[in-house]
Amino acid sequence: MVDVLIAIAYGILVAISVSVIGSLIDFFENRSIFGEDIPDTLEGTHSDEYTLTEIDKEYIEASREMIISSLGSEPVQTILTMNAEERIHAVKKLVEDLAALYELDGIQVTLFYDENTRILGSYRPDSNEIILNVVSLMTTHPALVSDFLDTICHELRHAVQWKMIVQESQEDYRWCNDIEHQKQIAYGLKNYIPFQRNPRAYRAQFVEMDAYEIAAYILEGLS
Amino acid sequence: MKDLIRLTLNYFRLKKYLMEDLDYTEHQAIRTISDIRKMDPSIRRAFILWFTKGEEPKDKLCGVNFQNLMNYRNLNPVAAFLAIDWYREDPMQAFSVLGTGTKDSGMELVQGMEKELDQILQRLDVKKEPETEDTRDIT
Repeated sequence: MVDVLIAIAYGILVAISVSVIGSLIDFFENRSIFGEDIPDTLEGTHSDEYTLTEIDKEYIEASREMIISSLGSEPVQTILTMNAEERIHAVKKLVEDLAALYELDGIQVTLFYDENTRILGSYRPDSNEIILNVVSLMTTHPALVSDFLDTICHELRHAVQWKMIVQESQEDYRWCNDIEHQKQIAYGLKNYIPFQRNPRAYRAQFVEMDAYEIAAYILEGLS
Repeated sequence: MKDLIRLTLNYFRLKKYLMEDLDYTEHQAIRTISDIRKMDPSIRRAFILWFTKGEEPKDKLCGVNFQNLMNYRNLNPVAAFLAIDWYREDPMQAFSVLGTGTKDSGMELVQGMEKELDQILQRLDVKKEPETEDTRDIT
Protein backbone atom coordinates (compact mmCIF):
# COMPACT_ATOMS: atom_id res chain seq x y z
CA MET A 1 0.00 0.00 0.00
CA VAL A 2 1.44 3.33 -1.03
CA ASP A 3 0.73 6.21 1.25
CA VAL A 4 0.67 9.47 -0.68
CA LEU A 5 0.52 12.60 1.39
CA ILE A 6 0.02 16.06 0.04
CA ALA A 7 1.95 18.16 2.44
CA ILE A 8 0.19 21.40 1.76
CA ALA A 9 -3.40 22.40 2.16
CA TYR A 10 -5.24 20.86 -0.73
CA GLY A 11 -7.43 23.90 -1.26
CA ILE A 12 -4.37 26.12 -1.62
CA LEU A 13 -2.82 23.81 -4.17
CA VAL A 14 -5.94 23.65 -6.27
CA ALA A 15 -6.10 27.45 -6.16
CA ILE A 16 -2.60 27.76 -7.63
CA SER A 17 -3.06 28.71 -11.21
CA VAL A 18 -0.73 27.02 -13.60
CA SER A 19 2.23 29.35 -13.91
CA VAL A 20 3.10 30.80 -17.25
CA ILE A 21 6.81 30.66 -17.70
CA GLY A 22 8.42 32.42 -20.58
CA SER A 23 11.49 30.31 -20.59
CA LEU A 24 13.11 27.46 -18.79
CA ILE A 25 16.20 29.61 -18.63
CA ASP A 26 14.45 32.32 -16.63
CA PHE A 27 12.68 29.92 -14.32
CA PHE A 28 15.83 28.54 -12.75
CA GLU A 29 17.79 31.81 -12.95
CA ASN A 30 19.97 30.14 -15.55
CA ARG A 31 20.49 33.25 -17.62
CA SER A 32 22.03 35.04 -14.66
CA ILE A 33 24.32 32.08 -14.01
CA PHE A 34 25.30 30.79 -17.43
CA GLY A 35 24.62 33.78 -19.67
CA GLU A 36 22.65 33.78 -22.92
CA ASP A 37 24.15 30.92 -24.86
CA ILE A 38 22.65 27.91 -23.13
CA PRO A 39 20.35 25.11 -24.26
CA ASP A 40 16.65 25.42 -23.44
CA THR A 41 16.50 21.75 -22.57
CA LEU A 42 17.30 19.59 -19.60
CA GLU A 43 17.98 16.38 -21.45
CA GLY A 44 21.27 14.87 -20.41
CA THR A 45 23.33 12.49 -22.44
CA HIS A 46 23.64 8.81 -21.66
CA SER A 47 26.91 7.79 -20.11
CA ASP A 48 29.08 5.23 -21.87
CA GLU A 49 30.06 3.89 -18.47
CA TYR A 50 26.57 2.61 -17.73
CA THR A 51 25.51 -0.78 -19.10
CA LEU A 52 21.95 -1.98 -18.79
CA THR A 53 21.34 -5.49 -17.46
CA GLU A 54 18.51 -7.67 -18.76
CA ILE A 55 16.59 -6.90 -15.56
CA ASP A 56 17.15 -3.16 -16.15
CA LYS A 57 15.74 -3.48 -19.66
CA GLU A 58 12.68 -5.29 -18.35
CA TYR A 59 12.30 -2.65 -15.62
CA ILE A 60 12.50 0.16 -18.17
CA GLU A 61 9.99 -1.46 -20.50
CA ALA A 62 7.50 -2.22 -17.70
CA SER A 63 7.84 1.35 -16.40
CA ARG A 64 7.24 2.84 -19.85
CA GLU A 65 4.15 0.69 -20.30
CA MET A 66 2.85 1.84 -16.93
CA ILE A 67 3.36 5.52 -17.80
CA ILE A 68 1.73 5.08 -21.20
CA SER A 69 -1.25 3.28 -19.67
CA SER A 70 -1.66 6.11 -17.14
CA LEU A 71 -0.98 9.16 -19.29
CA GLY A 72 -0.81 7.98 -22.89
CA SER A 73 2.14 7.89 -25.26
CA GLU A 74 2.61 11.65 -24.90
CA PRO A 75 2.48 12.02 -21.11
CA VAL A 76 3.92 15.53 -21.02
CA GLN A 77 1.37 16.80 -23.53
CA THR A 78 -1.40 15.04 -21.58
CA ILE A 79 -0.36 16.76 -18.35
CA LEU A 80 -0.15 20.13 -20.08
CA THR A 81 -3.87 19.89 -20.94
CA MET A 82 -4.81 19.36 -17.26
CA ASN A 83 -5.58 21.90 -14.56
CA ALA A 84 -3.64 21.88 -11.27
CA GLU A 85 -6.02 19.54 -9.45
CA GLU A 86 -6.05 17.05 -12.30
CA ARG A 87 -2.25 17.08 -12.43
CA ILE A 88 -2.00 16.21 -8.75
CA HIS A 89 -4.48 13.37 -9.14
CA ALA A 90 -2.69 12.05 -12.22
CA VAL A 91 0.72 12.15 -10.56
CA LYS A 92 -0.58 10.56 -7.35
CA LYS A 93 -2.05 7.70 -9.40
CA LEU A 94 1.12 7.31 -11.46
CA VAL A 95 3.36 7.14 -8.39
CA GLU A 96 1.02 4.59 -6.78
CA ASP A 97 1.03 2.44 -9.91
CA LEU A 98 4.81 2.58 -10.36
CA ALA A 99 5.43 1.88 -6.66
CA ALA A 100 3.15 -1.17 -6.93
CA LEU A 101 5.02 -2.32 -10.03
CA TYR A 102 8.33 -2.00 -8.16
CA GLU A 103 6.85 -3.80 -5.10
CA LEU A 104 7.67 -0.86 -2.84
CA ASP A 105 5.33 -1.78 -0.01
CA GLY A 106 4.86 0.85 2.66
CA ILE A 107 6.61 3.64 0.80
CA GLN A 108 5.40 7.10 1.70
CA VAL A 109 5.23 9.83 -0.93
CA THR A 110 5.01 13.47 0.10
CA LEU A 111 4.21 16.19 -2.40
CA PHE A 112 4.97 19.82 -1.66
CA TYR A 113 5.06 23.11 -3.53
CA ASP A 114 7.93 25.51 -2.99
CA GLU A 115 9.20 27.91 -5.64
CA ASN A 116 12.11 29.04 -3.52
CA THR A 117 13.87 25.77 -2.83
CA ARG A 118 15.94 24.08 -5.47
CA ILE A 119 15.19 20.66 -4.07
CA LEU A 120 13.17 18.87 -6.72
CA GLY A 121 12.94 15.56 -4.97
CA SER A 122 14.62 13.17 -2.61
CA TYR A 123 14.40 9.67 -1.22
CA ARG A 124 15.01 9.05 2.46
CA PRO A 125 15.85 5.43 3.23
CA ASP A 126 15.47 5.99 6.97
CA SER A 127 11.77 6.81 6.63
CA ASN A 128 11.26 5.04 3.28
CA GLU A 129 9.85 8.28 1.95
CA ILE A 130 9.88 10.00 -1.42
CA ILE A 131 9.50 13.76 -1.36
CA LEU A 132 8.57 15.60 -4.57
CA ASN A 133 8.40 19.32 -5.21
CA VAL A 134 5.49 19.81 -7.62
CA VAL A 135 6.63 23.27 -8.70
CA SER A 136 7.86 21.96 -12.08
CA LEU A 137 4.62 20.03 -12.56
CA MET A 138 2.61 23.22 -12.18
CA THR A 139 4.06 24.96 -15.21
CA THR A 140 3.24 25.26 -18.88
CA HIS A 141 6.79 24.42 -19.91
CA PRO A 142 7.13 20.91 -21.46
CA ALA A 143 10.76 20.54 -20.39
CA LEU A 144 9.88 21.23 -16.77
CA VAL A 145 6.92 18.85 -16.75
CA SER A 146 9.16 16.25 -18.36
CA ASP A 147 11.78 16.91 -15.70
CA PHE A 148 9.15 16.35 -13.02
CA LEU A 149 8.33 12.93 -14.51
CA ASP A 150 12.07 12.26 -14.60
CA THR A 151 12.28 13.13 -10.90
CA ILE A 152 9.51 10.62 -10.10
CA CYS A 153 11.36 7.85 -11.97
CA HIS A 154 14.67 8.93 -10.42
CA GLU A 155 13.48 8.91 -6.81
CA LEU A 156 11.56 5.68 -7.20
CA ARG A 157 14.74 4.13 -8.57
CA HIS A 158 16.54 5.11 -5.37
CA ALA A 159 13.81 3.36 -3.40
CA VAL A 160 14.31 0.29 -5.60
CA GLN A 161 18.10 0.48 -5.06
CA TRP A 162 17.58 0.52 -1.32
CA LYS A 163 15.19 -2.44 -1.52
CA MET A 164 17.76 -4.33 -3.62
CA ILE A 165 20.36 -4.17 -0.87
CA VAL A 166 18.16 -4.69 2.20
CA GLN A 167 16.76 -7.92 0.76
CA GLU A 168 18.28 -10.93 2.47
CA SER A 169 18.04 -12.97 -0.70
CA GLN A 170 18.38 -11.84 -4.28
CA GLU A 171 15.55 -14.14 -5.34
CA ASP A 172 13.18 -12.32 -3.02
CA TYR A 173 12.95 -9.29 -5.27
CA ARG A 174 12.00 -9.28 -8.94
CA TRP A 175 13.95 -6.12 -9.79
CA CYS A 176 17.12 -7.08 -8.01
CA ASN A 177 20.21 -7.05 -10.18
CA ASP A 178 23.20 -9.30 -9.56
CA ILE A 179 25.39 -9.26 -6.48
CA GLU A 180 27.99 -6.95 -8.06
CA HIS A 181 25.29 -4.39 -8.72
CA GLN A 182 24.13 -4.67 -5.10
CA LYS A 183 27.69 -4.22 -3.88
CA GLN A 184 28.12 -1.10 -6.00
CA ILE A 185 24.94 0.39 -4.54
CA ALA A 186 25.92 -0.41 -0.94
CA TYR A 187 29.47 0.86 -1.37
CA GLY A 188 28.18 3.95 -3.15
CA LEU A 189 25.78 4.79 -0.35
CA LYS A 190 28.50 4.36 2.23
CA ASN A 191 30.66 6.85 0.30
CA TYR A 192 27.88 9.09 -0.99
CA ILE A 193 28.87 12.51 -2.39
CA PRO A 194 26.08 15.12 -2.19
CA PHE A 195 25.42 17.53 -5.05
CA GLN A 196 26.27 20.53 -2.85
CA ARG A 197 29.81 19.28 -2.21
CA ASN A 198 30.91 18.17 -5.67
CA PRO A 199 28.23 18.29 -8.40
CA ARG A 200 30.21 16.35 -10.99
CA ALA A 201 31.22 13.56 -8.62
CA TYR A 202 27.62 13.45 -7.40
CA ARG A 203 26.38 12.80 -10.94
CA ALA A 204 29.15 10.28 -11.68
CA GLN A 205 28.73 8.06 -8.58
CA PHE A 206 27.04 4.74 -9.24
CA VAL A 207 23.81 5.24 -7.30
CA GLU A 208 23.14 8.52 -9.08
CA MET A 209 24.32 7.39 -12.50
CA ASP A 210 21.97 4.41 -12.21
CA ALA A 211 19.02 6.61 -11.20
CA TYR A 212 19.68 9.27 -13.87
CA GLU A 213 20.26 6.77 -16.66
CA ILE A 214 17.31 4.50 -15.84
CA ALA A 215 14.95 7.49 -15.58
CA ALA A 216 16.22 8.85 -18.91
CA TYR A 217 15.71 5.49 -20.63
CA ILE A 218 12.19 5.18 -19.23
CA LEU A 219 11.17 8.59 -20.56
CA GLU A 220 13.09 8.44 -23.83
CA GLY A 221 10.78 9.48 -26.66
CA LEU A 222 7.81 10.10 -24.36
CA SER A 223 7.09 13.75 -25.04
CA MET B 1 52.84 39.45 -15.15
CA LYS B 2 50.39 38.04 -12.60
CA ASP B 3 49.83 34.92 -14.73
CA LEU B 4 53.53 34.15 -14.66
CA ILE B 5 53.58 33.76 -10.89
CA ARG B 6 53.45 30.11 -9.95
CA LEU B 7 50.74 29.45 -7.40
CA THR B 8 50.78 26.44 -5.12
CA LEU B 9 48.40 25.13 -2.53
CA ASN B 10 49.31 22.74 0.23
CA TYR B 11 47.34 19.49 0.01
CA PHE B 12 46.91 19.03 3.75
CA ARG B 13 45.76 22.61 4.26
CA LEU B 14 43.03 22.16 1.67
CA LYS B 15 42.00 18.76 3.01
CA LYS B 16 41.78 20.18 6.52
CA TYR B 17 39.64 23.07 5.25
CA LEU B 18 37.26 20.73 3.45
CA MET B 19 36.87 18.41 6.42
CA GLU B 20 36.84 20.92 9.25
CA ASP B 21 35.26 24.01 7.73
CA LEU B 22 32.96 22.46 5.15
CA ASP B 23 32.27 19.17 6.95
CA TYR B 24 33.35 16.88 4.09
CA THR B 25 34.07 13.26 4.97
CA GLU B 26 37.62 12.10 4.29
CA HIS B 27 36.43 10.23 1.20
CA GLN B 28 34.65 13.34 -0.11
CA ALA B 29 37.69 15.51 0.57
CA ILE B 30 40.14 13.15 -1.17
CA ARG B 31 37.85 12.78 -4.18
CA THR B 32 37.25 16.53 -4.39
CA ILE B 33 40.95 17.40 -4.27
CA SER B 34 41.59 14.81 -6.96
CA ASP B 35 38.96 16.56 -9.11
CA ILE B 36 40.53 19.96 -8.40
CA ARG B 37 43.84 18.63 -9.76
CA LYS B 38 42.06 17.69 -13.00
CA MET B 39 40.49 21.14 -13.49
CA ASP B 40 41.28 23.27 -16.48
CA PRO B 41 44.45 25.26 -15.53
CA SER B 42 42.68 28.63 -15.72
CA ILE B 43 39.93 27.49 -13.33
CA ARG B 44 42.42 25.81 -11.02
CA ARG B 45 44.44 29.00 -10.89
CA ALA B 46 41.31 30.99 -10.01
CA PHE B 47 40.53 28.41 -7.34
CA ILE B 48 44.00 28.70 -5.78
CA LEU B 49 43.77 32.49 -5.85
CA TRP B 50 40.43 32.31 -4.09
CA PHE B 51 41.70 29.84 -1.51
CA THR B 52 45.03 31.47 -0.74
CA LYS B 53 44.20 35.17 -1.19
CA GLY B 54 40.42 35.28 -0.89
CA GLU B 55 40.09 36.70 -4.40
CA GLU B 56 36.77 35.72 -5.90
CA PRO B 57 36.53 35.57 -9.69
CA LYS B 58 35.54 38.99 -10.96
CA ASP B 59 32.91 39.02 -13.66
CA LYS B 60 32.58 35.56 -15.22
CA LEU B 61 34.74 32.47 -15.14
CA CYS B 62 34.53 30.47 -18.38
CA GLY B 63 31.25 32.30 -19.08
CA VAL B 64 29.68 31.37 -15.72
CA ASN B 65 28.81 33.83 -12.98
CA PHE B 66 30.53 32.35 -9.92
CA GLN B 67 28.54 34.28 -7.34
CA ASN B 68 25.14 33.56 -8.90
CA LEU B 69 26.01 29.90 -9.27
CA MET B 70 26.68 29.69 -5.54
CA ASN B 71 23.62 31.70 -4.62
CA TYR B 72 21.07 30.03 -6.85
CA ARG B 73 22.33 26.46 -6.51
CA ASN B 74 23.29 26.58 -2.87
CA LEU B 75 26.86 25.50 -3.63
CA ASN B 76 29.90 26.24 -1.49
CA PRO B 77 32.78 27.98 -3.36
CA VAL B 78 34.74 24.74 -3.86
CA ALA B 79 31.72 23.03 -5.38
CA ALA B 80 31.08 26.10 -7.55
CA PHE B 81 34.58 25.96 -9.06
CA LEU B 82 34.11 22.25 -9.76
CA ALA B 83 30.72 22.92 -11.32
CA ILE B 84 32.18 25.56 -13.63
CA ASP B 85 34.88 23.16 -14.75
CA TRP B 86 32.26 20.49 -15.44
CA TYR B 87 30.12 22.94 -17.44
CA ARG B 88 33.16 24.01 -19.45
CA GLU B 89 34.02 20.41 -20.35
CA ASP B 90 30.58 18.85 -20.81
CA PRO B 91 27.93 21.60 -21.01
CA MET B 92 25.01 19.36 -21.97
CA GLN B 93 25.52 16.84 -19.20
CA ALA B 94 26.36 19.49 -16.63
CA PHE B 95 23.41 21.67 -17.57
CA SER B 96 21.01 18.73 -17.24
CA VAL B 97 21.94 18.69 -13.55
CA LEU B 98 23.04 22.26 -12.80
CA GLY B 99 20.22 23.79 -14.84
CA THR B 100 17.50 22.80 -12.38
CA GLY B 101 17.89 21.71 -8.81
CA THR B 102 18.84 18.76 -6.70
CA LYS B 103 17.26 15.38 -6.66
CA ASP B 104 18.38 13.38 -3.66
CA SER B 105 19.46 15.38 -0.71
CA GLY B 106 18.01 12.54 1.33
CA MET B 107 20.28 9.90 -0.15
CA GLU B 108 23.01 11.22 2.05
CA LEU B 109 22.31 8.72 4.75
CA VAL B 110 21.33 10.04 8.12
CA GLN B 111 23.72 9.08 10.88
CA GLY B 112 21.31 6.61 12.42
CA MET B 113 21.56 4.42 9.34
CA GLU B 114 25.31 3.94 9.41
CA LYS B 115 25.02 0.79 11.49
CA GLU B 116 22.38 -0.72 9.21
CA LEU B 117 24.46 0.09 6.15
CA ASP B 118 27.57 -1.44 7.73
CA GLN B 119 25.62 -4.65 8.33
CA ILE B 120 24.51 -4.68 4.70
CA LEU B 121 28.10 -4.17 3.54
CA GLN B 122 29.20 -7.06 5.72
CA ARG B 123 26.43 -9.36 4.47
CA LEU B 124 27.24 -8.52 0.84
CA ASP B 125 30.94 -9.01 1.60
CA VAL B 126 31.88 -5.58 0.28
CA LYS B 127 35.57 -4.95 0.85
CA LYS B 128 36.66 -1.45 1.74
CA GLU B 129 38.77 -0.22 -1.14
CA PRO B 130 41.95 1.51 0.01
CA GLU B 131 41.81 5.23 -0.66
CA THR B 132 44.66 6.39 -2.89
CA GLU B 133 45.78 9.80 -1.77
CA ASP B 134 48.02 12.11 -3.78
CA THR B 135 49.45 14.47 -1.18
CA ARG B 136 51.54 16.64 -3.51
CA ASP B 137 50.90 20.38 -3.55
CA ILE B 138 48.23 21.56 -5.96
CA THR B 139 49.69 23.83 -8.63
